[in-house]
Amino acid sequence: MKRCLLVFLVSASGSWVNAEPLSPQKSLEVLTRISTSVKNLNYSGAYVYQRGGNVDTYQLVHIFDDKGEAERRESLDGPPKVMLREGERITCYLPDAKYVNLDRHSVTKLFPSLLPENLSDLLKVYSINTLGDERVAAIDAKVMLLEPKDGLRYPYKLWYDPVSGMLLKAAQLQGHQGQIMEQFTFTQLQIGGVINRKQLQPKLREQDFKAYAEKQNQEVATATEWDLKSIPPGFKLVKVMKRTTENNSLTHMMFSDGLSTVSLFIEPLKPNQKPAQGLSVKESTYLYTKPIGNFQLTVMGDAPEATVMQFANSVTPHSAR
Amino acid sequence: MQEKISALLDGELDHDQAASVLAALDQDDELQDNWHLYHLIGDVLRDSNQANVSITNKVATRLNEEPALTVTHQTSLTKHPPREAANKAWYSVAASLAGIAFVGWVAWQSFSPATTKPVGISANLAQQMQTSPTVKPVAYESRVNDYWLAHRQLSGHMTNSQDQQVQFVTVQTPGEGR
Repeated sequence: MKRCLLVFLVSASGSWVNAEPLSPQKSLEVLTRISTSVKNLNYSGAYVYQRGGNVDTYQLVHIFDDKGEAERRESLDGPPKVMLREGERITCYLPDAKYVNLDRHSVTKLFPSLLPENLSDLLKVYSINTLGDERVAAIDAKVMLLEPKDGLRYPYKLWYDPVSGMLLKAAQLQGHQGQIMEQFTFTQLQIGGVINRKQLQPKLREQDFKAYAEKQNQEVATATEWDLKSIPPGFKLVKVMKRTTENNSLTHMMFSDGLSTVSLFIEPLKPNQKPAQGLSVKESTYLYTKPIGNFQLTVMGDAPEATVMQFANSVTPHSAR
Repeated sequence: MQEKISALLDGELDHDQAASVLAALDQDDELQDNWHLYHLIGDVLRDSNQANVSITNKVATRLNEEPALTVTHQTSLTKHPPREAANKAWYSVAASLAGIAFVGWVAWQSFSPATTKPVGISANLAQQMQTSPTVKPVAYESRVNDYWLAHRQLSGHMTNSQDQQVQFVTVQTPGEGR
């Protein structure tokens, strides 16, 4: 009874109190282990995704064999939606007996593969603290806090299985109390064992499907006519999409620090268009829009207000040099 | 005809063209299926759990009830020549998949920051059908919705739910208000 009370007091006093910093070397080791485990292990289970009052449950089967990675995730609520991934190829099976193929590059991060490739860069902007033990999906998990070294990104909490290195739960936090804004949690998980590739195939009737040819309309650009000076540290340009037509051109630049993503959209103002300016928020995503000369810039980021503002203020046209 | 439906969804048809497509849509079950499918592709890619909740019926009902308003409002928001819109909705994954632009393009006329109504694709359509046929600048929210989809999809949030209803709440509005 005494122990129960103690546990209660500890958990009620806020998780950050027990934070113990991990050395950079140890931090890299543990992140590398998690990153490798989610790729190289066989596992199957169910996870819950929560954000802004929405709750979705998915079933996930993941295998790693001589052909590489493959996985199937299926929504358990509502109409069944299935996403099959084999290496770089993703096929979505849609509820109305249709399917579409997607390029891997349009889907970059899927739970539990949330960590970036370059973990050293991530550790330049985050420090790792251990937060003790918690039970997740009936597994005794280690908890750690990824604490930003500046106020330009949100903290994250990760729960992992110290035995297998498997990531069990991930949460994006916000505010002084470390309020959870978004989280993925395994509710049930079987790690290891042999899973046959055939088990990945959705149990749907083949004759019900109708194929859609994949057409890549998006133009991937390597450079833009915009300069970005003094963007927030740790963020790198990961993708530029451009679309130009006779009457319009839209540039979408995407930046990431490994965990958080910020998008910049730039469009020319139309002759009759009133420039817009303002800051708004949806859960932990901030949006700031402002005119730059004859263009309208919109920054949308899963990052704090200061980050989004700094991005907005860093954009200048090439000609301004 | 499929191209015309696609064009209608893009908001690039003029009054007469839109009216004829709507009339054809009303008569033809197969076309209604296409209409349904276009929405479905978008909904599913946004991973809505409500993706196939009889959109066909809802849309058909609304079309039956208020076709004139739809046409008027659609036309009033179309400030650009035909065939422009399909190109602009480039970041719609559905567009790239099926060659169909389903994200409607609406001229970004002004910023109405206090509005926090859902501005999803279906919601847009519903709103167009429900509101009076006077010109109303809802364009900024439309852009935000498109941006939101592009941002979430490219950053790997396929597992999101019901995100077609984007609601940003204004924090501050320096400079221009409505």
